[in-house]
Amino acid sequence: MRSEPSEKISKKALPVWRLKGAIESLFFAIVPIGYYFLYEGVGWPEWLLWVLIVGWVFLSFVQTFIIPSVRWRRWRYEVLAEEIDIQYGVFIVRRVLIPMARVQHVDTEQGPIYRRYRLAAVSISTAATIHQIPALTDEVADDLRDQIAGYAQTADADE
Amino acid sequence: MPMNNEKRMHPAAILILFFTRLREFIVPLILIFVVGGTGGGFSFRWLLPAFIVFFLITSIFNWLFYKYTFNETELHIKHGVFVKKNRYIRRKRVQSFDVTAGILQRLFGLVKVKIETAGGGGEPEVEMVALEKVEAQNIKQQLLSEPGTDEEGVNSTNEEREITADEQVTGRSAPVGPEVRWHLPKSHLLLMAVTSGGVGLVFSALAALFSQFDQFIPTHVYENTIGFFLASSILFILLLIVVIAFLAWLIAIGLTLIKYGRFKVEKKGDDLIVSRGLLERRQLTLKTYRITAVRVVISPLRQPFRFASVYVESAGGGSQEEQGSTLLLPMVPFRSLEKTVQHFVTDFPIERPLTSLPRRALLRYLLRSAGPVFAVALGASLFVPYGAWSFILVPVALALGWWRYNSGGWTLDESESYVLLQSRLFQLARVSVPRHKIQDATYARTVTQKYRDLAHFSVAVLSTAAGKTFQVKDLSEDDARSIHSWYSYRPTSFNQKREDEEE
Repeated sequence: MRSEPSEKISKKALPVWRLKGAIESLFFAIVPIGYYFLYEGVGWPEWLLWVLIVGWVFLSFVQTFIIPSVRWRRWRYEVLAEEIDIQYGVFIVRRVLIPMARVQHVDTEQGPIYRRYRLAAVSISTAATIHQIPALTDEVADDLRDQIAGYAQTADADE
Repeated sequence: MPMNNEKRMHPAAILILFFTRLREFIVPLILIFVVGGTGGGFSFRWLLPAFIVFFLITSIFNWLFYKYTFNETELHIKHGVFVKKNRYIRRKRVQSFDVTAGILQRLFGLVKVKIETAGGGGEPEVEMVALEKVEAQNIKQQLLSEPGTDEEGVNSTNEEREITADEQVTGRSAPVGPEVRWHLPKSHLLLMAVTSGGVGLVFSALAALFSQFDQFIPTHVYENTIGFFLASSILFILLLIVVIAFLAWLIAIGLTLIKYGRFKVEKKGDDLIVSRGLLERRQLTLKTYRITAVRVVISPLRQPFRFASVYVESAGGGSQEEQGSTLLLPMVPFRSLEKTVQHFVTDFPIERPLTSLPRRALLRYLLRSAGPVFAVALGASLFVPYGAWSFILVPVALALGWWRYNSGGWTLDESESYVLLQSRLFQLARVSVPRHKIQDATYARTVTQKYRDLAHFSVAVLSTAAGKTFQVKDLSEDDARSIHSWYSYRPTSFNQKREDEEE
């Protein structure tokens, strides 16, 4: 049995994901708020309102505090001369192998939030799929991109 | 190439472009017309002629400004009225060549040509709506003929080069006439039509049509009919449903016959030529070495007759209604399946004994298919009168889950260069993929699977629109791991696997 991929992503992913989780939770608040108007206007039962509020609080807590930590702990990657090995997922843990010879191009991406935290994501494209390693520090991301591009080129030449 | 070699399409292109555009806009136009008829005031009646004139003019301009030249290496297309666009299609890049003769084209003895190159979304790169048959043949010859000197293939991707090299080793085939030919016998076509799954689709269309009838029928007739319906028994309504279903079935049979009539597959050198259709004749040319996966599909309706269909995945060539795949053999009897497939796409193994799923996966399969049905039935029985009857569907879903569990399986072929994955949604699908065409391999494990040593396994290959992923659910974890390390390019993992097998 093979062990987990060796590298972890930056610990700075946590605040970014927590922020994202919190923003998403705000969005879900629309359910209890919407129900509140039904309760006021049409007179739907009150107990369901409390159920929805408690549910929303619980969901927000899970989304902002628990899921980001689990996700961070799961996320691992390893780049070898022959292939890229990644592992991720909260409820479903996926383990993906991408041979270097199949890599078509690599990009680094950085959105506004990532820029604040000096983070970047590395996208790896094959002819059929795109995979992204999120939340790497700028330097690691750049190195990784160059490293993969280099390996991919030699793998191509070998075939 | 001198510039004066530029050609235009056949002038009938104007008419064809015009009608295609008109067809696309016919529904909104009619709507406007109907609304305008009752609205009065603003002169809507000028709108339709205005649109027609506009379409006609743009069609003429499109034809006028669409010019092409071609030579041994590429096809060059210049088009655009205000913004001039140049498109160069290099021969090495051509993935598929599609010649269709629709009804309009047939009136003038013309054909439509679609050419696809690797990558770039769903739209074909070139679509020439009206060409003389000879001209289409010439372009095809130029763009697809056996490469004489293809040694400078710097631009082709590694996959392509790899296979061309292989082909040259296994024997060069001179492209003189088709080497293998297969056609769909009439009796099989009929069986295919009778067992086609299109019934459901046509049925819902018909039902929708019937339900819209009230808008066109005068009110008193409508009210009489409703009264009649209310008076008549539930038996009558059932009878009506049966009649509609039968009608739908007949229409579906007709549609299948028209679409797949005179189905023919030929192989010339590296070219696979698939032709089909009674009214609209479609001829698709694919390169065998671009095929990334072969998929055998057995529909439940055809299983009792022991017939299967064979699809191939390749970059380009796939059609929308086939989800980006290409139907290679629509109806093949089980007994000659492997032999027939091998004639056209050599090396893809089809019939191999599969490793089935472990017993402990059954529970997950049953829950997955019956769980949602149970939940819906529970809801229905609480809130809908007679809703409890929907619990009848639970055993059906359980049976389906069991069937799915029984259908799942995987194996590697004897040379260990192909993986075969089999699963069932409703239809049984067995896919055969060579290791070097797999773009990535994933094994996935949910939290609950972890304690039962089960895992999903999937591979992605290149297909027409984008990638396509094939998955088998709930393999034993050891099996999933062993396919995963079979796919791994890491030198050590391959050795490790060998050692495991020897132990």
